[in-house]
Amino acid sequence: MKKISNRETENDGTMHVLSAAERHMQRGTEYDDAVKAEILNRNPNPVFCIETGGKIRYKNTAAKQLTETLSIEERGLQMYRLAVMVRKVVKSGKHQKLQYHINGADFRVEALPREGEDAADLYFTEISESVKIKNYFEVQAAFAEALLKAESVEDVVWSIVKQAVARLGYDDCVVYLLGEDGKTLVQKAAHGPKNPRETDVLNPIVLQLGQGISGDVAVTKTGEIVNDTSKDPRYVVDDEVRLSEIAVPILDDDQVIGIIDSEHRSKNFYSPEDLSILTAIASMAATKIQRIKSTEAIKAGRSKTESLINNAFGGIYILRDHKFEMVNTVFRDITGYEEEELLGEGFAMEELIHDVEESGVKAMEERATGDKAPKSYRITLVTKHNEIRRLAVNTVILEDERGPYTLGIALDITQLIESERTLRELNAELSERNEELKQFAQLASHNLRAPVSNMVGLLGIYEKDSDPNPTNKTVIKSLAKAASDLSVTLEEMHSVLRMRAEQSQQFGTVNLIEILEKTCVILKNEIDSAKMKICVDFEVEKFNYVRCHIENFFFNLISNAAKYRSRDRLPILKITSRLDNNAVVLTFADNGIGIDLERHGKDIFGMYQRFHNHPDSRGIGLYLVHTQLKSLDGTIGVKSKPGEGTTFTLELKLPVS
Amino acid sequence: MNIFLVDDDSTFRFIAKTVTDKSGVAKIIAEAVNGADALKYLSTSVSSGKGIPDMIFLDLNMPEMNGWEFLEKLPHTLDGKINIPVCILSSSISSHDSERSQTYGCVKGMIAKPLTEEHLHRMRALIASA
Repeated sequence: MKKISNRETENDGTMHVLSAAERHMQRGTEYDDAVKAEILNRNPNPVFCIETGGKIRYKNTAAKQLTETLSIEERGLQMYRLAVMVRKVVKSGKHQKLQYHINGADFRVEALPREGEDAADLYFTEISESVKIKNYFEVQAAFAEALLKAESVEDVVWSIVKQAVARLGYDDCVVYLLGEDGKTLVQKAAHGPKNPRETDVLNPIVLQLGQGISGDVAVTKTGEIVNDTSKDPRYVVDDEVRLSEIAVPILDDDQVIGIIDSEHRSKNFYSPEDLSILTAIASMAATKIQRIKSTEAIKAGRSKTESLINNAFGGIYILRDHKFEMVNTVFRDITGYEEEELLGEGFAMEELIHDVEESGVKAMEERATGDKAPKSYRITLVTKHNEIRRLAVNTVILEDERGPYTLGIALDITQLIESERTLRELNAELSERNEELKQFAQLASHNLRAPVSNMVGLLGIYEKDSDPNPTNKTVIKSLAKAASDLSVTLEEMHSVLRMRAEQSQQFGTVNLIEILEKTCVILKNEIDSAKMKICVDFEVEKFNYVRCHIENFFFNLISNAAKYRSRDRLPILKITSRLDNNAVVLTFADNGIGIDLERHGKDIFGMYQRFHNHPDSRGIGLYLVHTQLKSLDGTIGVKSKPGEGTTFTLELKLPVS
Repeated sequence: MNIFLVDDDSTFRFIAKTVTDKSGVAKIIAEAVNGADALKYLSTSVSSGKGIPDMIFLDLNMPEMNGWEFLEKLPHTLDGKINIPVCILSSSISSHDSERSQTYGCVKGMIAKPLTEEHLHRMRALIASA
């Protein structure tokens, strides 16, 4: 089977692509000699069919013109040389490409042996330097024109293969671009068998940098011709094995961004001129790609800015001479007007404004005096649909080549103002309810005390022994207990309310020794009956704090230690104080019955939380201690083991002097 | 110890009377239901020289004239002729009340209701030591 190139170079340097008829004819099939002659006569390049014996079967018009100008001797010599060439070609049975000099000009001859015949077709293409230069120049010009139209990197790579490489007459070409990872080369455009239709690349392969001839060129950044791929271990088969290859890098600022690669089935197909032209094409392509990338980056930046402006939280506008010059989507949404309406002739900002707050009037007056500083104020605006909206506006005067303009940012605070109003109303209602509750609690605490104390008093003077009925005795006893409990509860309620009212107690110097002594006097009965020993270790004795709080801490924690003492040992309470940064740390460590913190830890400082069945346990003391500490940013911690004892650690934040 | 009891609460007055009678150390010789009534009684008592108490048991929270107003007007009523100690009786004694009571020289004690015999003993001892 003959391998046939589908290109010819015209004498004038342009490419002559063989017609389908010519290619059929080269395959030596269904056309008769007359048709062949006619077709071949249209080819501007010389074409011969010569037998091994030297007989010319035919020659086209261009071939006749070439030989006619020779002298008889010269013509004989040339015919002999051509016959020798045909014999070699027929003997090899392979298509060969040869250089030939005749009549002062250089030709490239493609010799195609005819299958089963002692003859070969010889296609001459003039390759004299001037012609080649002219050809290359025209390829570059066509490519430059194509580049002008290219708008994307994809357009550029397809221009390389379609507008440049195809004109050079290569069988095959692919353009690789460096992948996003910067480590691979990906086929992006192709000409020849790898490009079955339009802009498809058949089975695009990916090369690692350094892999194959193209990969190697990407590393060396130097174009290369491989005249015999069978002897080059780097060669990587793509769609089929070919014997020669050329690869040139596309360099952007000395960085490889792609590779132009072409292969040919014949050895020694590519010339240094091919390397030159491809290098020139690669350079032009790189410049264009760089420009496209810059444009794309600018476009992306502009698109980001536009997106940012349109998706901004507030409405953004530019006013010049009281007319809108730019409005973003949010501002259009706020006003209800379309962009064309706002930007249209005869539409001014004033048409939107319904009312301006005092701060706004002041800002506008200042603007009128030439004040360009940023201003913030509130306005009321009427939308296109006659809705009233409240806006918080920030404006600043800027200047460009056309003069000063106002850049404004407007936040729609209609909802916010409505929410604020609702919140204020709710707050007022809540304060009222709170006050009512407070008064109720005070009334309950205060007004109940008189009747309760009367009940206790009455039951106290009731002569139990005078009533012989045992049921009545029990009833009275129970009533006395209930009245007493009620009285204690009221007292506690009162304590809590009093403590709340006294939150703003003044700070003053407190003396721990004095407070301890006073507490021991108050709790004398409890301490004595418990036989409790109190040890103190005060590193700090006097400090600035709210006295009644400390008194309450001592009262509750000492009475707790006495109340929850262990019956197995003599109760000991150790009280310490120390200074820790800007706080006084008090500890109350007892050896009492302890608390099961796993069960009660989270409730321990709650109101009416009781963890023991002690008859005097009310569950109010620790709540009061905790609440008072918290009100002055202090903390309380507890460590305890049932059966071993409990330690309370109080951190009292000292006031900043 | 003769006591003049000023309290609008009839139940408390009953309790106070019973406790006092039972105690054997004190006796309620007169009662009033508010400050104004009390001043009226004292005015008559001082001018006639009859029924002058050893101590006034005074409630604070009363209608018409409360305990504080009574204390304001008491010196004027007694007109410097006589000093009668006052013991405040209240169902709730706040620190504020306690502080305020100390501004009146005649107030010698404060008792949280209900009244007990122990209170009476303490008051009698206080008068005796004065």
